[in-house]
Amino acid sequence: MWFKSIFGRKARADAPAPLFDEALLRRLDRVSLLAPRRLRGRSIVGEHPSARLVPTSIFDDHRRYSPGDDIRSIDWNAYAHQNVLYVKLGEIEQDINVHLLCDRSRSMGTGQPTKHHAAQRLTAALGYLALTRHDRLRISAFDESVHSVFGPAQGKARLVEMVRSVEALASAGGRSSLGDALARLAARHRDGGLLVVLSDLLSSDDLAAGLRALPLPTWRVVVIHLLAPDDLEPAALGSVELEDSEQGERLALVIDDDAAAAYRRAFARWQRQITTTCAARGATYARVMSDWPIERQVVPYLRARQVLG
Amino acid sequence: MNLLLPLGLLALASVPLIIVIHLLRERRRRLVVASLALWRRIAPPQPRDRRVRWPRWWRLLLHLLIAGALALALAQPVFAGWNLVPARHLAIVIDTSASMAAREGTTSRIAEARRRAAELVRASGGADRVTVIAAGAVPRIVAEGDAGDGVLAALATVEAGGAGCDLAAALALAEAALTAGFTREIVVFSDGGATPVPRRVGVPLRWEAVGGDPGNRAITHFAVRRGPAEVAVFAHIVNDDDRPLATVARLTADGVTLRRENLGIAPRSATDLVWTVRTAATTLSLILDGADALPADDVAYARIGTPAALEVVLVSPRPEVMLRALASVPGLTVRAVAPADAAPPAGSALVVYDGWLPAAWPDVGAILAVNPPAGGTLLGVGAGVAPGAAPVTAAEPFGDILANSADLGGIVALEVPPWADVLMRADDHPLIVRGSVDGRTVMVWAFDPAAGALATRLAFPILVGRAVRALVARATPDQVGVAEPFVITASVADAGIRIVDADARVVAALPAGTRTIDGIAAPGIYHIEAQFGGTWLALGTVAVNAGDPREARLVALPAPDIAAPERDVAAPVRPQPQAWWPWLVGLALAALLVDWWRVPR
Repeated sequence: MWFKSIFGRKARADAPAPLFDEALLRRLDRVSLLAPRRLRGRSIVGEHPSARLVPTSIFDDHRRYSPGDDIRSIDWNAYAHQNVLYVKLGEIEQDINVHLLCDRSRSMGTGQPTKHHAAQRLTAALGYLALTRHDRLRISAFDESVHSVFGPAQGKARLVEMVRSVEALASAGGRSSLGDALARLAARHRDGGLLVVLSDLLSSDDLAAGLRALPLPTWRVVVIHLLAPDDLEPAALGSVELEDSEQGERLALVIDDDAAAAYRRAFARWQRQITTTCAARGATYARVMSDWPIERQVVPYLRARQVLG
Repeated sequence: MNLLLPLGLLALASVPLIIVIHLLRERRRRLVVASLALWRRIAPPQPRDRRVRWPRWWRLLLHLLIAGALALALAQPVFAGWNLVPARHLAIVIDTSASMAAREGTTSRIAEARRRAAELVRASGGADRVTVIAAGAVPRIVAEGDAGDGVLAALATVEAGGAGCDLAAALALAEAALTAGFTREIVVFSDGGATPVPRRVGVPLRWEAVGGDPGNRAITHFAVRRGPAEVAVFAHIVNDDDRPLATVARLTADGVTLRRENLGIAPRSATDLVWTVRTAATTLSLILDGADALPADDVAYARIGTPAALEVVLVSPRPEVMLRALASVPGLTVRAVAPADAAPPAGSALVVYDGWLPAAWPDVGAILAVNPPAGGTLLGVGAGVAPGAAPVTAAEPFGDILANSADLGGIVALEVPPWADVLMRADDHPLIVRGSVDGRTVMVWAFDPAAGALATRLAFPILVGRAVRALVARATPDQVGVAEPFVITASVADAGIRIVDADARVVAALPAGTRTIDGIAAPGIYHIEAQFGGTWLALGTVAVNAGDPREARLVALPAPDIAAPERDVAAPVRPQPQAWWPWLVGLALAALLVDWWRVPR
């Protein structure tokens, strides 16, 4: 029928953007997750620098030979000069534990496009980076509790599985508790790693307590604060009835210029508070808008925030 | 309610559109935000005024009301009115016969009737109409109009008096006064005994009985006749009580007691008194000592007539025919004179000119001009005419004395003077005219009684007698009943009339031209005076009495058997249809104004 095309076209227009596209993949191929050396990883196939020095042919330090060292790393030239056995020590590259913790509370479903979709795309992109760099990837989602979504996994072979898992992630939860989720995650994975939190942080009253459970240098925490344009600025002026996306509570308001300005001030104050908390706990804070294109805005921004390199 | 343009209701199709628009606006107005926490942190955003507290569905209802009102206005509804039952028109008939003046306890029957009638008026609605009819010997409408203070004020003036209550005429008057289209009803307040009673009336009738059985004694008849030297007095006294009557009857002449007689009358019986007295007084009165429920009929008055006969001067060259006729009229002293000897007959009650007229009307009270000659200055008389046996039409007092003009001879063409009215005519020829000239009453016969066969007919002396009585009749009657109308026969066209009682107090002043006096309310002796040139001249004396055989019996009688419908069958008048669209448009505009005022901008 003729009208089906009308509704069909509209439905396609409202459909969320795919998690990946060719431009994004090309862009991601040129970046990688930055992980500090102090993170503990395994030096098997990883590409991240490690703080540990091991006998190696490409060296930048020496030490005395100890029984059991690989005799192939003995610096025979130094032995010829000094008659002491030294082994050549060099850096090793390591793979790290990459934890992507995604907020799936109902508040993530707001915005256009939704913050949840932006979180999905970011999760998929970061997961792509982790898998392609041979990191051990775990994707979890949290609302009132922590749910394992994907992993642990390593290697590109798990890429399709990861994407499907992320696609299946829905924002159907109730209220989220970020601090509790962080504490549970820290207790479950004591070897630490790179933790990327993707959330709108609306339930971040206990953020400081959660970050306290993720101490440096075991953990490097990156807090990606996902925001929708409506979170920064009231969507409409006049007599409105605001409905809480999580609790369903309603609040009748007259939003005029004064009220809008007061909201903006409160939002800035709240964001400063989160930034301060993150800074105090050594976490990296990055505010990402849900309508930002990943390849053109998010990736450069994260590179500037030294989340990506 | 009818719709002149039902297609206008198609505008109601806007109702679902309004609902859809409201639903869409409702969606847009409700904003889902990630969290209310930040909104709650800012200063509590209280509404700036009470307008936002108005629930939105009220606005929806308001808009639906506006759409509905405008759609209905487009359909142009007309409403036939709520009051499908027409308003009531009540005719209150109050018996004003003398018996209604009887006192029972602390009030009188007429006062009780007025009080109950006033309650009916006050209980009537604003759209009801009331007609108050005083039912006496001649019923009259006292008040008519909306039930209000005007009717109540007129009702308070209704007084009892006079003999008889013409119930049939009163009910006919009431039925005629009731307006079609109203729910009509007649309510009668009476103590019964009214006559004549109609067999049926066309509207519902309610009978409100007034009064009990108080008993009464009354002077129902009081007559006086003056003889050559004595005055004969006759009185009929009734005791309408269950107890015997023992009282004293006093006969007074001009206030001086002439006779006193003890009376003993058995229950429910009567007695007659006959006296012969010598007195020069002009009035007599008979008084029964004591008191009863109706004191007005315990006294009676009479005027003693003048004994002298009327002097008539006949001026005629051939007086034989008229002289013989005038001589047959009782109470007349006729003096015939020739025209040459006709001195000014000052003081004569009547001057008859037969076949001759003076140059000017003499200064006498009444003039009869028979067969006036042509060429005179007083009357326009032409040549003789011969109408033959034309039918005669005549007014009072002549009535049907003459059937046609066959017996009339010597008919002349009389030019009717501007001051005269035609009393008898044959075809277009006036035969008898009468009028008033400078205070004189003048009658003109335009035929010669001696010329035709009229002088040999029995009708001739009757014609003469009625003419004389019409010309020299007393200005007022000797005796009338209380509230009984009477006519002043004197020429008072341009004179004011006043009624003066025996104590020289003016009871009533009537405007010039009044000929009929509606009646005098209280018994007594009254003088009727007329104003001529600034001087009040006595026209006559009237004795007014309340006693009447019909009113002497005070026992209240039950309602007479009068057939009347249970309900008024008059078809109600459809109220004038009222167009509603201006009101509906006004309602829509008012709703729009309220909406504009309530909605925050």
